[in-house]
Amino acid sequence: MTNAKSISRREFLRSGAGLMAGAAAMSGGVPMLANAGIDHGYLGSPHFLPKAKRVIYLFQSGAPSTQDLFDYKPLLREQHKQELPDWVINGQRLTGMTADQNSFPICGSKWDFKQYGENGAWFSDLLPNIAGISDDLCIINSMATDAINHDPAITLMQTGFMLPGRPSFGAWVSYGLGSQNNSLPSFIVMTSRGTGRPNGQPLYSRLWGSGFLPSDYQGVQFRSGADSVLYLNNPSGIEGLTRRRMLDTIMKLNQKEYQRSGDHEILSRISQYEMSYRMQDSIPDATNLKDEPEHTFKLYGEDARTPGTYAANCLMARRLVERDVRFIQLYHTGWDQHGNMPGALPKQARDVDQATAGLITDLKQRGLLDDTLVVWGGEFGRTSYCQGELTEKNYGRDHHPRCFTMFMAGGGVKSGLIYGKTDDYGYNIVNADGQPIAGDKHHYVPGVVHIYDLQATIMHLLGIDHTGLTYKYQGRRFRLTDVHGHVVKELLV
Amino acid sequence: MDLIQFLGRFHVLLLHLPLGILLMVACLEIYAVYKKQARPPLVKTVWLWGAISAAGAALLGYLLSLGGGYNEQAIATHRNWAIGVILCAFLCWFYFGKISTKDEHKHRKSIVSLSLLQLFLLFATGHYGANMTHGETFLVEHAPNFVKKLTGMEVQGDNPSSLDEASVYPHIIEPILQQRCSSCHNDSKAKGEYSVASYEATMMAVGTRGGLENSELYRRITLPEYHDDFMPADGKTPLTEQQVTLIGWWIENGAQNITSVSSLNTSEDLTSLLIETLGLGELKVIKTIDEISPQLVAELEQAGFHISRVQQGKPYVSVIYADYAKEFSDEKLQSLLKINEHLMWLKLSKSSITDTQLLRFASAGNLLNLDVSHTKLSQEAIDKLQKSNEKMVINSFNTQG
Repeated sequence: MTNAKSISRREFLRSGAGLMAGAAAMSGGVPMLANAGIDHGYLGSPHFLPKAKRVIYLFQSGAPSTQDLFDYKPLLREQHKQELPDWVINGQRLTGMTADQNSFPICGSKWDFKQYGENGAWFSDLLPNIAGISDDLCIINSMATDAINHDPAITLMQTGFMLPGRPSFGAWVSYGLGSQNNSLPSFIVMTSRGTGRPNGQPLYSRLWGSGFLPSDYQGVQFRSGADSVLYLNNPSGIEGLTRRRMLDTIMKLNQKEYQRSGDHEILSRISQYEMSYRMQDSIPDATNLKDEPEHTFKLYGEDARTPGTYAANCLMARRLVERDVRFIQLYHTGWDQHGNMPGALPKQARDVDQATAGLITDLKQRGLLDDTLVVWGGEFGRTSYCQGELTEKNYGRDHHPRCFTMFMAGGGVKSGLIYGKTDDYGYNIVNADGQPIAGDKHHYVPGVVHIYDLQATIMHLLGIDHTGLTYKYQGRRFRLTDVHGHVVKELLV
Repeated sequence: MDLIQFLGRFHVLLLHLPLGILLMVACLEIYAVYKKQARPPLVKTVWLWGAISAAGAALLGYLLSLGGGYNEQAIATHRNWAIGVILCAFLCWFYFGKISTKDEHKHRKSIVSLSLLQLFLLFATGHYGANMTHGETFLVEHAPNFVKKLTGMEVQGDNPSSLDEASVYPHIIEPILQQRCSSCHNDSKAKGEYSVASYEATMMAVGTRGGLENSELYRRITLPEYHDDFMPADGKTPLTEQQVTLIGWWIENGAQNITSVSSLNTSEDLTSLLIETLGLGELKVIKTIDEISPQLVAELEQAGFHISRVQQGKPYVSVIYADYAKEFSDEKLQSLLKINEHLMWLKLSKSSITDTQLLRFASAGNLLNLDVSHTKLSQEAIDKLQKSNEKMVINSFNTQG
């Protein structure tokens, strides 16, 4: 006796809806001239000619301290230990970690700042290598977010919503544009642990999940150990042909089950098996660093020899870009310096400084920077006042969503640009006249780059109109930028 | 949701019921009289159906008119004729129903005249209704000139024989607007209160402040197709790229009316487009690139190329040679050169491409980005190719040269 269930109501509706969607695709929204061989993904091809064909997103998880790295604020040193004026905070929300503090002493950066490059961008002494390529960077000092704690802030940055459950940036792009390399996933994720705070905030695989999109589009995570992808190699005694026959048989069984149940996830599973089979060849080729010459490791730093470090991941990202992987997402944890800023930040900065600069330089010399967009940044900023006790030797900074610094390079952004301004306390974004302005997702505020604006801008660089890449789920169409987002034209070439 | 509009739009669907029923029954009546046959007994009921469906269609028509966008006068005319149809249908049902089979021959004249009246009312109602939907000149737009004269339409002079004779609005722009816009934007049905029935009316939509960026009309025809404001709306055939170009050019040149085309600034491409539009001969037909055929795509995929379109609605593609470990043979090159005009981005990195093969890409006139990094190509060959196409960006990282 079998207990096979008949097609569920939901699956039935979905298969019906699939047909309708197909019909709708022919009548509008999606281009009429669909040509299976040259149109890939939901959009078939980008809405407009892309400036960036690939993205490397270097996510700095935990929130790097802007005041100690990029945004030079001499006033903080002058007024060191003095109370941060109330009119600066102006009733803004603080986290539960510092809201009960009796005093909010201003703390100046421990590190000296200098100007670099022709654009005269300020960097602290902690980032000598990144400072050295300042003319290649598009620096945004006026990033703003809505979330004040790590998980919602990272989730907002990566999925366009603070609550979990929506597809990640890379999944949207892979769903929209499809793959350029049939033997590697189009969205690959690598994580590394910061030495500044090795046991800090964890990461969750839903940050690169596909949410309600079919699971083919989720990010494939490379492990940080020596074997990037587990179980790819055939077990001993199993030859390639045997493995192929086994996969063929599984595919037939799966197709049978799909015909019976109509569950789309079975198709995803079939394509994932096939992808893994092709990855048996492509992954060893992509991840084998032995063919890298000595000077590569001079450029990226000696850390790049150790699998699982940020530097090794940056090098891997370059190798994946060369193999046309569309969206490569790195996460480096450990930027969460609530206390012990002087002790932890130099280690943390050393983790990323040379490798980040090395990656951008390497892409540039290989002629790949023109159509590869590199994005560097965390989920929010840190406060100009001290969290906990401010001593001669030690200080810390709490979460600060109102302003922070990110930078991009390559792929259609203006190199050498320094965009956005903060007040002398590094607490609020200000306009050209020095008046405080606040980011607002509901409407575009010139001078501020809200998370949604950043997402819309990156989408634009990929040739996607962020309002035109949607997926219908639970009765309405969703998109990465929810119902917000504005392309910041000033950042574009 | 707007229930009134939702139901109202079913008017154009439902109106065909009374039209068919009443046409049929009136013809049947006349035929029976002419043939001196007995009237079929069902006819009486059919008149009632016709009358009821006519009343229903009229009700929906009233709902539709509440939505606005139609000329009041045109609605009134159509409505009055429609009321005539309904009254006449009920009268026929009532009056003919009283006639016994024996007395039919006595009533022949009244049967025929009432049926003819019904036919006349039907045609009149239909005519004035259709005028609102399709525009008044819809039927005879493409009629021979003598028919146009008969209907009192303004007959344009013969087509201009040169660019000097052609006036920019009547000869170039108006035909486009008539073709793509006028079915919804005419005097009797001015959706969104815009009309293209005359030059003056069109200028309301173009915007009087001048310049492309101030023009609502231009903005709407150039939006992405999925945008809510895109025109033509509701999946109607969009303007072709050439038509958009012409309208853009016209607005940029001050959106003038009876100005000679030759007195306006034109580029070479635009001149040949104008010549083509006016049918002045095929001096220079603008070359369009066809889609790559599915067979050719399959052939190229077989040869190890990954092909993707660079942008929606464009024939250009990005090609990546994925099988770079295998030899880049002359056969593969041959296949690739079949799409030489489509190539915009090409990646042959790490392949075994030779200098002679490289120079064949001089024929790929639209190639913007060529990646031949990590190959054995010589600098001379790369320089030579660069000279043949100055705007091409060649990535020659780690080559012999």
